[in-house]
Amino acid sequence: MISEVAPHIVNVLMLSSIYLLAALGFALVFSVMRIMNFAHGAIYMVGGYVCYYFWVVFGFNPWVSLALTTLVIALFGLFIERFCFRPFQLDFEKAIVMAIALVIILQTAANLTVGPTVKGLPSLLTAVIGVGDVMLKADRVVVLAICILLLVALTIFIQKSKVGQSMLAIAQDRDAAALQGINTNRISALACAMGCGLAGLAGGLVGSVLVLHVGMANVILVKIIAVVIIAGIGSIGGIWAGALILGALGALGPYFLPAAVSDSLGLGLIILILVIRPQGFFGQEV
Amino acid sequence: MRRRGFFAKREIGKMASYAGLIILLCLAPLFMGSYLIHLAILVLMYIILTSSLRTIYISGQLSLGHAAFVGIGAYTSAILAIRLGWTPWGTMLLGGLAAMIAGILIGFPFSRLRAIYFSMASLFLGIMVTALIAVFPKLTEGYTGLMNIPRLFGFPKEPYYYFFLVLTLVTLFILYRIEHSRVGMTLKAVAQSHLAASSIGISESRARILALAIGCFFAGIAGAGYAHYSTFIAPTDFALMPSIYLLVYLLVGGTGSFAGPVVGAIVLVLIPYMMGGFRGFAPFFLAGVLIIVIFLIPQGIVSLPNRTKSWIRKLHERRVSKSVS
Amino acid sequence: MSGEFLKVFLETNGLTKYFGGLAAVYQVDMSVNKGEIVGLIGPNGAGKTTIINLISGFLRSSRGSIIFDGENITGKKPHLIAKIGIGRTFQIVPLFNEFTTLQNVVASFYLSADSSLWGSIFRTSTYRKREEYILNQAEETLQLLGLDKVRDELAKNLPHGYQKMLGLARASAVKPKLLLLDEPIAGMNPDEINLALKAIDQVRSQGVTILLVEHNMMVMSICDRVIAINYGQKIAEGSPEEVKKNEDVIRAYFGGEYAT
Repeated sequence: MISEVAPHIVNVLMLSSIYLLAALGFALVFSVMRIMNFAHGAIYMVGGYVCYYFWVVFGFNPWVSLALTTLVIALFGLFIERFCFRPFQLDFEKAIVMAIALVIILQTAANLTVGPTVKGLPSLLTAVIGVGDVMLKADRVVVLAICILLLVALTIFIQKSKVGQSMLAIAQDRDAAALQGINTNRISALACAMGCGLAGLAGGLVGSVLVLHVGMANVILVKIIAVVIIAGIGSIGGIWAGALILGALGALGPYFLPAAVSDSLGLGLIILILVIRPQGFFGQEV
Repeated sequence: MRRRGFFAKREIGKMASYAGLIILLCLAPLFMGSYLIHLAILVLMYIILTSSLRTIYISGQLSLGHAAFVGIGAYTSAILAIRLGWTPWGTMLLGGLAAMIAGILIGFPFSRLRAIYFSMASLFLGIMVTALIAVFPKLTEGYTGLMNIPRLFGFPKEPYYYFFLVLTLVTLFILYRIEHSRVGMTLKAVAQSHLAASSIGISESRARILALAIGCFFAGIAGAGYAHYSTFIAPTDFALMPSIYLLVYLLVGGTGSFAGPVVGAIVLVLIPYMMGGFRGFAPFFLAGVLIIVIFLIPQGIVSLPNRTKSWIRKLHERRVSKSVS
Repeated sequence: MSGEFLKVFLETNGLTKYFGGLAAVYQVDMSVNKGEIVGLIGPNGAGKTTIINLISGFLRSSRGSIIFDGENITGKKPHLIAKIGIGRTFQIVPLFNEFTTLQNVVASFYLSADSSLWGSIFRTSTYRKREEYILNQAEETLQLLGLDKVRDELAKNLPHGYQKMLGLARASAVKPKLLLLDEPIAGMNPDEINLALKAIDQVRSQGVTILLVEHNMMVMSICDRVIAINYGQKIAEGSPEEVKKNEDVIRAYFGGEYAT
């Protein structure tokens, strides 16, 4: 019994944790800069392909590739904060338009260079771990472990470090934070860099345990926004719950219901939440 | 000062130029090949879609799922025509009504949401409608799309052009009249201050639902018309990206004036087709235009004539003051 | 008019509003008779604006009831209350910023007009006649309040005094049966105050009942009756002179910015 269920549990957890990474990145940008970065999904996709180039095309070591990917995408995050988002902090319409422009550029670039082919990254590890009767794929466990480590590290960083505290302060009240001497621009830039880096890393990890395809941007974007809605604006802690719920739905849903139905149910649920409790379950009052 | 009757002097000049334009538009197909006519039909359709999006926008709601309503209209009309054999002319109207009812139903819960939450909810709605279409493949053929939709006319494109031309002109007329009437003012009032509006008896949710109903109705009819023209529709035609593109056309054209969405639709739909072999790069161009507009021309393309006029005037003033001093 | 003087028009019974654990308004029983001008005074934070918000439906009461012209309006939505005939002004005037002064007032008439879609599209004669009527009424209101010179100015460009005047114009344009004025002359210069008082008087002479919240003593003198509020509770009631001399009232203002 356990040997049948265990791999599924690992799948759910792993999927959830990857969503979590991506969603956390999105939430960081949203909370600190009050900007809904629609391009987050596209950045995640680009991360996956960049990782592919480092790993498969250039032949770097897998771990190095993942690290480089995170770095490259984080730098990209710095760039877009400075030139795309900073000018439009107060104008939510224009910020959305800017994000849309980014999506169009990134998605089209991907469509043109990679095209409709589906690529996969090799597994990080091919071994299979056996614990008693239970056979688990090592790479999934490792990915899960990486995600959990990162999430814990991030949580500690945000709660304990001065920079993290600054981010929380800005998320609550940007002006008040500025008055306290916090350099809002620099912290925003850092938040954006971290957010994008996380997206890029998530893309790379997904590439190694699942597949890379140009449609993955939209798929993850919907899931990310759903997670953030469940969690609530400004809440970084509530994202855990949201990601878990969605990961579960995503991994288990297809077993019980045809894919399209579970999709629509999930979406309907999100809409219901938006209508009944737009501020989410853990976020600040609107 | 107050206009008495319909035919004051200033009006005649304006009416003459509109009449001239309409005559030109009517004669155009004689000079256009089949491909250009198809293009013109697309432009006309997008004018309707973008303008109807703007009607929703002026009530303070930025909808990121407008294409879903286009899809509801298209699919309703197509399914009724195919499964029940009803005439497309009737089913188109029903498609519009279906989209309108959907808009009203959505409006009940959504019209109480603040701006950004409404946008998010509309985003999800758009995606959900696409997913729902796929859930009933017996009805809608799912992701593969619906084929062999009964045509409105025969095979030549000209009648379709005239049909869309009339539809566009009627839509624009109605939307224009609504916007510049008491109803339109009510919508705009609610967008500016729901407190002030409530204090003078205007129900915010009723106004917003009305805006949704109007906008979705025309979106649905245009979608249905398209279905019976192209004879093939698929869920991806009405998904997230099409909704986003509609929004882009509106914002680039300019949200402040009635002509904004018209200009936006014309310019941004035609550009990819003018790029010929470089069609694949069209989205880059689009994104570029987007970026230029939001940085340099925030009120949209439609504000360019005024801005150039005042820019020229300022230049002139500076030159005059220099020569005086 | 004085025959109707003792008919109770607006009445609150045990009106209470809690914010969290704090009672902003507590067990307030008050009444306003038809045709009266009743003043609501009290120090800052006493709960006067909260009472106005409760009566006009912008806040939901925690307990108690509000009866207007025999009808229980407790818990009704603000736009319905406006439709029933209660108009109000705000301390910080929410304007239709992109509308002109004239358009701001014209908008007030839309609650009573049938928002006929058909008429709007086809400009039927019914529609046009109504438009003309509305325009005339709006222009009259603007003239009454000295706003006709700025009629085509965008509301957001108006100086503060004019904005408050516009708030008053908007509230009174549809000739409500009851007008709730929340500090209508705060921030106005003496000329504007005179104009506003004249307008309030004119509105009153047309049979409108008025409930007025103000600090300024000059305004209290035009009231028939005054109700004093402190810490959310009624502490005194009577004619302006009586209330001015009331010990509790004086104590409430002791050390405050209130000087007789």
